[in-house]
This record gives sequence, C-alpha cells and structure tokens, in this order.
Amino acid sequence: MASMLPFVQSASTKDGRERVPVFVSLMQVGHALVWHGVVQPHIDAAAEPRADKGWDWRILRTMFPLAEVLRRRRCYGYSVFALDRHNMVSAAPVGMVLLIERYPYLANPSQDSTFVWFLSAAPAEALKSFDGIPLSLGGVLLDIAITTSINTGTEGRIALHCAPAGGPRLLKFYEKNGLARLPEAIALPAPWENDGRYFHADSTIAARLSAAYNPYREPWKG
Amino acid sequence: MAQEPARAPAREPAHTKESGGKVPVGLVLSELATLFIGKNEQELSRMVYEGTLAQHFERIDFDSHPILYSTKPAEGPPTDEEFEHFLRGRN
Repeated sequence: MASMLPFVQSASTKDGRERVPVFVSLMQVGHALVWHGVVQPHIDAAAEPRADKGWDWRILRTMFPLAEVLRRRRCYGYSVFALDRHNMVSAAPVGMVLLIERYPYLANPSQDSTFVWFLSAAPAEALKSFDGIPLSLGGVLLDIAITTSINTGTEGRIALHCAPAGGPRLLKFYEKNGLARLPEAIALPAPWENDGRYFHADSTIAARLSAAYNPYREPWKG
Repeated sequence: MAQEPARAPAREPAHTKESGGKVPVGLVLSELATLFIGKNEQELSRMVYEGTLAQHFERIDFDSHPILYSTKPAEGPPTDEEFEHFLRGRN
C-alpha cells in the first residue's frame, strides 16, 4: 500500500494554548448511537444557530452511504475522539464527518474531489464532563476531508455546501478556515441551483491548509 | 476506572450471517439494534415505545463503554473489505 498522509493525532484547544490527544476512526454504528444520545442533545439545545441541529447521525451513518452505493460512489464517515490526557484511556466523541469519495469537483467537474456531506463538532457544553476543555475541531474535520482527498488521489480537492441553518456564522467559519467560495454564477454538476453557499478548496489551497496541520499529525508525546 | 486501552483491536462481530452480496439494508438496520446496546430489535422497539431509550444513553460511562475499546484509529481510506464492513455496520 502506498504511504498515506496520516490523520491528526492532536487538536488545539480553542484558546490555542494547549493540545489534546485525539484519534480519527472510521465511524462505527455505535459511535453514531453514542453521539445521538450524548452529544446531539447539547447541539439541539444550543442557543446559537447551528446547521447540525436536529441531525440524526444514526441515519446519516447507515442510510446515506447506502444511498451513494446506488450511485457507485463510496461514502463513509469518520469519528474523532479526544483522549483524556491524564490517563490516555478515557475517550469522548468530539467530531463527526461524512464524506463522499470521488465526487465531481464543483469548480471543475472534469476533476474529482472529496465532498464533505455532513460535518459536526461537539459543542463545549458536551465536553464539560470530559477534561472540560473546548477544542478547536472544525478545522480538524476539514483536514480529515483534505487528507482523504489526498489519500484517494484527488490532490486535496474538497467541496461542501454551507447549510443555510448555520446562518452567517457558518459562512464566516468556512471563510476563516481558508476555503474559497464558489461563485454563484457557476452551475453545479447536479440538478439543483447554486445558492451561493458552496465552498471548495483546489489543490493549492488544500496543500496550504494541510501543511498547517502537519505538526498535529505527529504521535502524541504528552 | 477502565483498565483496557482505548485502541484495543476490534471485537469479532456478534454474528456472521452473509447477505449474498446485496446491499445489506436490513442487516444494517438490525445492527442498530444489536451492536451498541446488546438489545434485539423487539427489545429496542419496546424501549423506543416506552421512551426509555434516552435513559439508557444517559447512563453511558465513557470510561467503560465497550464501543470505545473496539475503536481503532484509521490509517487512511477504508480498503474495499473495510468499506463493505462499514456498510454492514460491522466495522
């Protein structure tokens, strides 16, 4: 097997002062069940607009990949777990992402990309019982998509749709994380309209974003 | 306090019924009922009907939950075999 770009093995705290060990795992049904029972209620109760309110990862994890099989595309999810720095045994789910491999690249449909279908990061409230440290996870989840794109031969290209339910805050989040906005005038390789809320990273942007996470790919050393 | 490492190898699936190579929708659904909470579909339906499923989740202790012990880090995109197991809910 060709050597793979590893996923991150640590994540920054929101204030950027510390790191926490994390690991990325192919999403199990159990992860989705734990997320739905333990993390999703905090998301649903959040005061601020969140695109992932009301999501059911049990359905996303099981049904959506099957739907993509019918389109002959591989769709799968990754779960991100944070490990307790003190014992390196306890773990808590802190992020979920569902990807589609080899999806037509929105900015140039003659090329393939990784499409980020669903992405959800645990809110700080859900982490209070676990080390109590808010983590910066959105960028980690995007890096998982870019890493997958690199490892599947699509040069880091990714694309996603910013759900309107996320409001202006979510648009700012993707812009802040370095993604480019797809001009509204560009037609999508799909039978629906471009609402101006699509984002993408070409191989150049992806290389820059991926390099920023290289220090986090090193094994955790405490 | 849990004693097992979080990255122990995955457990063997509880059963190995094959689906004949077809898209295993029913199998995946049945895994929902059995993989995580060790209940069969009838028991799960009863818990949903009685509204006791949420209480089950409230009792989850991350230090001892076996799902986390069967979780191993991904080293790259799933192989074809791993992806098939993923679709079946058996990864």
